[in-house]
Amino acid sequence: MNESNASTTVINRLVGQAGSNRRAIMLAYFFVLVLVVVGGILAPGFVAPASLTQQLVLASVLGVITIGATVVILTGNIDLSVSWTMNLCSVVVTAVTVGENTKIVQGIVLALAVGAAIGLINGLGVAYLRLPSMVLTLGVNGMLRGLTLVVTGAQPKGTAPGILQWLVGGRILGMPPCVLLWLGLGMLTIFVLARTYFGRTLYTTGNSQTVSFLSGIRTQRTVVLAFVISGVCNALAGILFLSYSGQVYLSLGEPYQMPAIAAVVIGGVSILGGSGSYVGVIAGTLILVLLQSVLSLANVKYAGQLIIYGVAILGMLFVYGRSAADRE
Amino acid sequence: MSAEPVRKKTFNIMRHSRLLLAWTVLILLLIVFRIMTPVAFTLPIITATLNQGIALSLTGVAQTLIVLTAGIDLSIGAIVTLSNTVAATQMRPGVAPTLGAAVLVLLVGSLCGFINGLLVAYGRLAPIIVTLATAAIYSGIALYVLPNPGGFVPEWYGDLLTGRAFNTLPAALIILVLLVVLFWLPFKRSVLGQSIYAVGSSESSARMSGVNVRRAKLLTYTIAGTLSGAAGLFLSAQTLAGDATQGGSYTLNSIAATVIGGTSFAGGVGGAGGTIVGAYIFTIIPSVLFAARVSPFMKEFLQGAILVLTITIGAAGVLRMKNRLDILR
Repeated sequence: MNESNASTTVINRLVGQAGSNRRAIMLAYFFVLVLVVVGGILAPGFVAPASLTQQLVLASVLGVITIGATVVILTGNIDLSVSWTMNLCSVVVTAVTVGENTKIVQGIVLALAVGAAIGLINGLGVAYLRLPSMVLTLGVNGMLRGLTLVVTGAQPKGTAPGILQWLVGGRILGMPPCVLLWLGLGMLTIFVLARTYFGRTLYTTGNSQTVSFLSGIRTQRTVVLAFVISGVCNALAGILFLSYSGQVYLSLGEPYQMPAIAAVVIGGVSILGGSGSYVGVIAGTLILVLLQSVLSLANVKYAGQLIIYGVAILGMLFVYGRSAADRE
Repeated sequence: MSAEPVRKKTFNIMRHSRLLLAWTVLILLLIVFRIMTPVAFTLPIITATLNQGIALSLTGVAQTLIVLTAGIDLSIGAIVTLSNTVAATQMRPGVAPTLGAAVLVLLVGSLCGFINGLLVAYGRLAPIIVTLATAAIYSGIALYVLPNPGGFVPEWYGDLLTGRAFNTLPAALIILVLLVVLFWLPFKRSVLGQSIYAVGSSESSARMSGVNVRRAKLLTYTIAGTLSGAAGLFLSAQTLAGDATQGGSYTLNSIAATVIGGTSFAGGVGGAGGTIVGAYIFTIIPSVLFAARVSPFMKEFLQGAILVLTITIGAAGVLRMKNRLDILR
C-alpha cells in the first residue's frame, strides 16, 4: 500500500508536517483547472495569456489579503477589519503623495505602518485582553470606517500617483509586478508556515493554545504577530487596489473581506485553526476570482452568481471531507 | 430543569452585572438625548425611536440564541432581506392575503434557518463558513425574487406595526413586550432554552448529560430564522417596499447588539433581554449624535467604539488574574 506518488511528495514538502488537508488542496487546484477550461469553452479569448494575466492581477489583491487571513485563521482567530484597513491605508497613500510621484516611498511606508498599527491593536486585544477576535476586529473595523469617513469627509478624493500604475501595467519577465509580489509573498508564506519556528507556533496555537502555552511557546506573541502581519497585508492590498483603480473609493474594501475568508477555507485551511497550508489558499483565491469571471462570461445574473458562489463554497466543504469539523 | 436547593430568591447583582451595565448605558444615553433635544420624550419621537430598534432587536435576539450555543450566524441579514422581498412581492391589498403573505414570510425565514441548522448540526460544518455561504445564497434568491426595489406593502399594514394603538401605546412597545414576555422568558426556562445554554457552555458535557445537541442546534437556527423573518416583516412595514439591497447590515449589527447586551461569544452566558437593550443603545447613538449636531460619520466610529469598549470592560477580569494559566480559561 505504498503509494509514493510524485505529486504527493512535492505537496508534502510544500505543506510541511502540520496536518494539512492534501486532498482539499489537490481538489482546489483541480477546480481551478476546470474553471479555466470552462472559461475557454465559453470564450476562447479567455485562455489567452493577456486574459489570464488579467485574472491573476485581479487575484493578487485578494491574494495578498488571504496571506494575512490565513496566518490569523491558523491561530484560531479571525480578522474582520480587512475592509476599512484597506480603505484607510489607500487614503493614507493618496493623502501623502497628493497624486505626485515624489513622495511615493513615504506614502507606502506610512500606509504599511498604519496597517501594522491596526494589526497591533487587534493582536494585543486578542492575545492579552482575551477579547474575542471576531467582535474586536468588527468593532475596530467600524471605528476605522468612521475615522476614514471623517478624515475624507465622505468625499472619495485622492488620485493615485502614476508610478503605482506600474505595479499593474508594467512587466517583469512578462508578468505584472503585483502578481509577482503576491506569488513571491505567497512562497515566503508557504516557507514560513512549513519550515520555521514561527510557522509551527501558529499551528500549535491554533490547535490548542493551552497546550502550546504550557509547552513554553509564547502564544501571545504569536497571536500579536499574526494580526500585525494581517494588518500589513491588508494595507498592502489597499495599495495594490489603488494601483489597479487609480483612485480611492469609499467602501473599496467591502467586496474583499468575506471572499478572503471563503478563499482561505476553500484552500483547505480549517476555520477553527490549527491546520491547513497557504498552498491551497492560492488555489482558493484563484477559484473565487475565476468563478466570478466565468459566471460573468456565461452572462449569469448577479443574483445567480451569488447563489452559485454560496453553493460552491458549501459543495467544496462537503467534498473536502469533514476531518476538521469532526475534531469537535 | 435545574435542581436548585430551595432558597430565597435574592437578586444577585453580580450575576446580572452585564445586563445592569447595559441598562445603565442606555439610560445615560437617553438622558443625554433628552438634554440635546427637548422633544426627545414626546410621543412621536418615542414611537419613532422605538420603531428604529425593533428590527435590530429581533435580529439581535436571533443572533443571541445562536451565539449562546457558541455559534454564529452571518446569514441573518440575508434572511431579513429575503423576507422583505418575499413580503413585498406576495402582499395584496386585502387583510387575508397580507396575513397569508406574512405567514409565508415567517415560513421562509424558518426554512432558511432550518437549512443553516441542518448544515451546522448534521453536516458538522463550522457555523461561520456555513452561514457565510448561505448568506450569499439567500441574498441571491432575494435578488431573484425582487430584482428592483419596489413591490407592494399595504399602508394599513405599515401603520399597524409602526403606529400607536389607541393613539398612545406604540405598537413597537407591544411587540417588544410580547417578544420578552411571550417568547424569551418562557423559552429561557424551557428544556430547549436550558439545552442551548448547556450546549454553549460545554458541548461535550451537554451531550454526555443526555442533551440532544444536534436537535437543539437545529431548532436554535430555525427559530433564529423565524425571528429574522419577523424582522423582515417589520422592515417591510417601515419602508412600505421591498429592496433586495437592504438588510445586509443587520448581520453585523445583530452581533453588536448581542455583545453590547452582555452575551458572551464563548457561549453559555447572556440572554435576549440584554440584547434588546444593546440593540437600542446601538440605534439611539445616531439619534443622539444628530441631536448634538455631531458629524454623522462619527456614528460608525462610536458604534464600533462602544462595541470595543463593551468587550474590554467585560475582559477587565482578565487583568486581575493571579495565575497566568487562568488567562487561557
